[in-house]
Amino acid sequence: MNATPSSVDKPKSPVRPRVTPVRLVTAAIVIAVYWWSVEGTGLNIVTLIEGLPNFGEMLRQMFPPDVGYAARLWEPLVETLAIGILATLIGSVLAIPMGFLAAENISHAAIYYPARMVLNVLRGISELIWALLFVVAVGLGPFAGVLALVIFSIGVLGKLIAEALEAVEPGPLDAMRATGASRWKVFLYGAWPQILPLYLSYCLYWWDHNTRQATILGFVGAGGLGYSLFFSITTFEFEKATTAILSMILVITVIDRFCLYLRKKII
Amino acid sequence: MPDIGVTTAGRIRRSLARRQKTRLNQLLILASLVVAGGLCAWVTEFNFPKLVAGFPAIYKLLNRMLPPDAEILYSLGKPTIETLQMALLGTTIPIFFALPLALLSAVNTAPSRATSVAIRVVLNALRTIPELLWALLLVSAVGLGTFPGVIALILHTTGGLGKFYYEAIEAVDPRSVEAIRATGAGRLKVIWFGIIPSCLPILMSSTLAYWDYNNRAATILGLVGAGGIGLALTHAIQAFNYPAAITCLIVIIVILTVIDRISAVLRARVI
Amino acid sequence: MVTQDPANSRPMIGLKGLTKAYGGGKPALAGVSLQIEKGEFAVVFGPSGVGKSTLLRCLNYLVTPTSGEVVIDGQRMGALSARELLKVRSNIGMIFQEFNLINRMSTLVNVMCGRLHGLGFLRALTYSFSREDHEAAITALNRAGLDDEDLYHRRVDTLSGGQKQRVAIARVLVQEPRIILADEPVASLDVKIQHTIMQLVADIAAKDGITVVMSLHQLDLAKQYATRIIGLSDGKIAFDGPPDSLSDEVVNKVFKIVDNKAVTADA
Repeated sequence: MNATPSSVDKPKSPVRPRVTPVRLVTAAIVIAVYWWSVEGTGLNIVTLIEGLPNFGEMLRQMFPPDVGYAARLWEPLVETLAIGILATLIGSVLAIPMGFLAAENISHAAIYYPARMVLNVLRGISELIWALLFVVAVGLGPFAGVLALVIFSIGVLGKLIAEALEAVEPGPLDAMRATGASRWKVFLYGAWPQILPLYLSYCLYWWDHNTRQATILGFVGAGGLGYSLFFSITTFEFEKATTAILSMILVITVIDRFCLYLRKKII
Repeated sequence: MPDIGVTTAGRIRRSLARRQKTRLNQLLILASLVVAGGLCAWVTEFNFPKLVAGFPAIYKLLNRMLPPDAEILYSLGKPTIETLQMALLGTTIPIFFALPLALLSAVNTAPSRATSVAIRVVLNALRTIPELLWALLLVSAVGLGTFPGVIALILHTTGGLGKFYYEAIEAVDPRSVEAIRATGAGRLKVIWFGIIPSCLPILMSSTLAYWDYNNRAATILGLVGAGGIGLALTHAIQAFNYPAAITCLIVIIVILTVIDRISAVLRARVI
Repeated sequence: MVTQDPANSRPMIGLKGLTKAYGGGKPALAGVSLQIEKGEFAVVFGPSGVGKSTLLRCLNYLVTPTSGEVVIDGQRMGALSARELLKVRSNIGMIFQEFNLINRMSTLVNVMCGRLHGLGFLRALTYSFSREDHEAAITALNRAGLDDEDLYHRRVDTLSGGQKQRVAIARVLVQEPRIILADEPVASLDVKIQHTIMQLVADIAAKDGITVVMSLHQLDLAKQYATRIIGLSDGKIAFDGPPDSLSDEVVNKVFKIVDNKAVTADA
């Protein structure tokens, strides 16, 4: 990829020229894009240095953490875990029919494209934006958070399932079709057993992801630990924020390890 | 031959009994999942009446959103570009931090076990804290804007890429490293000519994956005031200007889909 | 005893101008017309890539022909509704070169998959085959030469090639088929087992009066077991007659034979 066409075409020079017009132009474009981005985002060393004392001040206020606050974090902590588990359970079940409909080799041509489109839209917006919309629609609380994660999970897991189905060995599908089995029976007996281990490992991976997301859903009022976190930071009670951050790290790490353990057991 | 009939009957019986046993196991697993789901539903107040009531609410919201407000597209240009710029910087700048840190923490290149462990702890902490939380912390320290957004992406991505990088470096075939070392090359030369070239495709594809991820992340940074299109969306929703909000959503879906395609094409070329 | 039954006078399989073209290329089948009577053991002979597989798959409509007609036991396949097609398929068993078993499932379940067509909704959904299905599967496995109960509950991917093909034959037997289609059923097996499997299929077909259509590329096997040989070349019938009439001259005129196997179609 570092051989420009011009250097390949000229066998005369045994050594490839280090500077070619194409490379110069590419370099210029890259520099221009970065310059533009740095300008556009206001990223400069002066701002950074000016900001450091503020950040240092914040860090100073964060320690020592307010240990007593932990007692009030129990409820949001459990809620966070519950959002992650429930959203993964519902999402992973609903993703199966969507994946079935969106798999080119099993679904019907007329259903395949719309199903893909629906999955793309579900996946096209981040969980947090879904959460924001659901908060507007159904009100504050974990209910909106679960809905948001379910929607996004269907989008991601549905696509993964569809892709796994499309990679399935076609032979058993033919064999099932040849027995006179209908489309969904072909799926259930020919394809599903083939992708089951992959599906379970995707679900575990996604449970891990959903738990991480559940910790920040509260930023938009969709339940869980994020609400306490958001509140303590925006009211400048940083010693409480530290406690909340530490419990968040704890939850994420525990679930991460647990998923790793379960995945090893399945595979 | 009657005895064949007898053995067949026995086989059927044993086979059915066996199925009964696995069925029982499956039912137990199913029951525990249902119980877990039920408990979680109770905790999160997720119930059927609420769900039923939710549909009209969502429909009502959708109704107020449509048709999208095309007029504001012009004003969305700047935040859209900001989003892309944040993602670009937030992905490429961390490379310069993540690569050295990864080299210092991969077991086959680390100077000592202690450095390796220490750096891994740092990378892990950077990665575990979501970029949105970094953004929130930075916004409250240095104020609103894209600047804290970029820093937040840089911090989280350094942790994420660092982990990807050291895993790739550790997976390098030790024999290719031996070959370079045998020429009498020093530590830096071994890394530069032996290790980096052999894991370059993985490094590049994981960086591209993070670029894809960061574009998605950059669209929501605005929710905590860290700039980009998320800010425009938040403003629209707070002002109950729902047609403008759905225009933002459409723009987000379009740019994320385009970036997703570009990143998939580039990744296919890299590997 | 023998009454004049019109069903007996009509052929089991009738093809009229069967043509199949994939994409825009040269057709795999170019106007094949023939009739196969009940109880015949017809071998479709020819080198690989000559359209044998396509011909077999057109018979049960796993592949939809581009034009032409397939009539199975008096029913025009092209005119059937989706539901009727499944019904006809359930009476046609199919055996494959790569066995096409579902690797992650047990021998017994693989065999019972032959009964998917008649399996009720709830039973299919929960993978619950009935006592009758179990009985049929065990009887079929016995007939197919797998008498060892230890094999029933093993995952099929732990079986040998010959055992796998026996499982596939048992899967066909539980369908109680009137026709067996066999697509190169012994091409992936050791030479020693090839004859065993051929003999097994021939015995079952003779005893139950099943019509067999088998594709093969080995001349000696075709001559030994078939009651009729249909030579296929360039998507057309190049020879059709009893094995005895297939003299070496005819074979050499139509096919090039190397090591007893047809390799290329004659120009």
